[in-house]
Amino acid sequence: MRVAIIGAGVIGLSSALCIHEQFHSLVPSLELEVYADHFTPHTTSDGAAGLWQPYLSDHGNLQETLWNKETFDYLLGHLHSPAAKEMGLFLISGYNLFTEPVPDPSWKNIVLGFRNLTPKELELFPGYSYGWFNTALMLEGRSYLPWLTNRLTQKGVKFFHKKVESFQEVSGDGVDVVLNCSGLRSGDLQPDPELQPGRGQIIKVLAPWVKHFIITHDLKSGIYNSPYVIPGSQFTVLGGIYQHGNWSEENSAKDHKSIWDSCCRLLPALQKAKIVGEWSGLRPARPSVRLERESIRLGNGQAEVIHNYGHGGFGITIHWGCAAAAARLFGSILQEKKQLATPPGPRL
Amino acid sequence: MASPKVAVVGAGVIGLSTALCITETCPSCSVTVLSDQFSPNTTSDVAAGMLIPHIYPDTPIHRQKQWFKETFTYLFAISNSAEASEAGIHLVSGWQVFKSTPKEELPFWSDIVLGFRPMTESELQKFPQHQFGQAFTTLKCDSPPYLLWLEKRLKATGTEMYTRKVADLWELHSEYDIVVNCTGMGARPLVGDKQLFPVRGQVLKVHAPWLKHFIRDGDGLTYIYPGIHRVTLGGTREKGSWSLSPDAGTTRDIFDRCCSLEPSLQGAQDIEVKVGLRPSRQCVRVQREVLSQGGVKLPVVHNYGHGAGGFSVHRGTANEAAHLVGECISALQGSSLRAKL
Repeated sequence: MRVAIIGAGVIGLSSALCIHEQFHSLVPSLELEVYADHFTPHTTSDGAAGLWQPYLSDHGNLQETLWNKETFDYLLGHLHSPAAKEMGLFLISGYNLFTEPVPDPSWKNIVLGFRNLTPKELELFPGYSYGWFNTALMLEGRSYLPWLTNRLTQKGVKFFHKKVESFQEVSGDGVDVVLNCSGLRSGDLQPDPELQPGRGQIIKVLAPWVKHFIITHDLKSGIYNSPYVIPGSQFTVLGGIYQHGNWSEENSAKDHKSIWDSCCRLLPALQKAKIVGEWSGLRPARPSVRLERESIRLGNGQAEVIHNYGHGGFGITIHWGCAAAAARLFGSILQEKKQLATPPGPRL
Repeated sequence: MASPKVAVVGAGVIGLSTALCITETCPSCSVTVLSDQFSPNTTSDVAAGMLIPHIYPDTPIHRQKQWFKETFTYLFAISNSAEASEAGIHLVSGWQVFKSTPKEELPFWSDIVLGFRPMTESELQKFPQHQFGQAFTTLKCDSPPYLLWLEKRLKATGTEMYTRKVADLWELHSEYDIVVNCTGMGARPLVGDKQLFPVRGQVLKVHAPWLKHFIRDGDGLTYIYPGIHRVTLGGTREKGSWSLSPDAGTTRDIFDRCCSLEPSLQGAQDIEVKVGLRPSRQCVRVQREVLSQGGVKLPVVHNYGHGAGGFSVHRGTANEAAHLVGECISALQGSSLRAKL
């Protein structure tokens, strides 16, 4: 049984790992192949700071909140394992800041120690009158993706460096299931007008005295269009750009200035921070994550495709819940193909 | 007395901050810092510099609270300014955990640090051997950066600093009008204070940049304090030990204790071992004294004996000592007026 995974970002690699872990002993012939035009450190996931934090509102999308929780709990369980450092996984606390009171987020009981900010804490952030403090997790793509890749390689998963132009290209020739984890480029494989780039730009600085994440919110401008500071294990990420529909991956001088000025206003000590890099990336934004099966007619046959894309700016936050859901869809495909023993009971 | 000449003996956090306070409260004073050691070779350089107060049994609590509050307020303002990174001051959040619930669940400083609250059940799961904990955000003063920043501020006021071992305060009486004794453990030989005793502390400074929280066992013996570049792992409290040599068995023990609080420390690199002698006393000595010898008087202000809590109360005691220096100056001016009459 051959499975082709398109995409080697956090979604593709974690989906592959989840499927392998759950099914390799049940399906001895299981062969996984990852196809991607970009591998770590050149994927969108590599550019993300790696902070686990969903958007402020799940817009009633309870399923996504559950996947977020599943991811958080899974990562928390790995925190004390010897692999944590290699995975790029560690605890981090910090601040979410607002200019007016807001309802508590869907994830308040998922993170640790969620509470409102005290008046004295708010003194640190002139201009903001309300906020939250909580402890969450960092999962740095630069470490996590290589860790996933190593695990997959050890398990015999093959990697192919190529830009896949169509499902047909990978599904012919004996591939039974295709996992579409192609992020923003999924539109090239199958048109999806709901999938749009949410362009972001970040400045990487050396500011090792910053130990907290600080995310400001401007409810009028929308998510991530207000300055944020996220300290990683090797550098600190300054950001605050979200441009819907902008496909440019070039760093913009105007955005640089906007990020720099607003972050330095937020944290005056940043003025002394040394800039060590800059990056632009395109969040694969969609009103909701597309995680579903599709049977696609191809030539003289049919391929089962599992779509798992459209995770916007919360891919790392939601990845494991989605990988597990994709694995469940894979399991149902196996049952249909009678690759798995059917449960006892009358056959229809 | 146009320009009182003040000698501050000692260049750890207490000496430097006291000297700075004196230049602020008495701009006409000429201040000189004398010390046999300067950063990075002072006891302060070994300390992590965490603002978590140590309790002095014989100092009234309200005074300790006042010292801590003044220190916290002073550093809070710097941490929020463009100078924060140069001064080595940063906010850090974390947990103080207890194997059994302490008698006093609310320490006197709980309303001075930020966001103090008991830990939730899910937070405590990270510490399976501990039953109770407190979460809060406080400040850390990294040394050498903080001491070097104090030295820079002092130089800007015209304060001079000299490496000099002062064996006897009387050495200074002809050159200086007032002597401020911030010699820490050095006060024992210098002024013969037998109430002052060393509490030896060994620490490890490691590279573990993914650690963003402090963790402290409520017993005060095991702690993990992330600084700007290094994480301080501690520690020991060996009362009466004068040894400044690192002990290999102790290093292993500290590392093991810290790894059991924070398993990811197994991956820590570049372990550096340091030892300091906490200048301990039942109460901090912030006090005026007039030494007298052969008809000559020497006003002295003492500011030493901060033990494990030097950083936590340094600015508060420096303010008090500077105030006492002001009193010495008034007394000198009064007596010189009387001498003229």
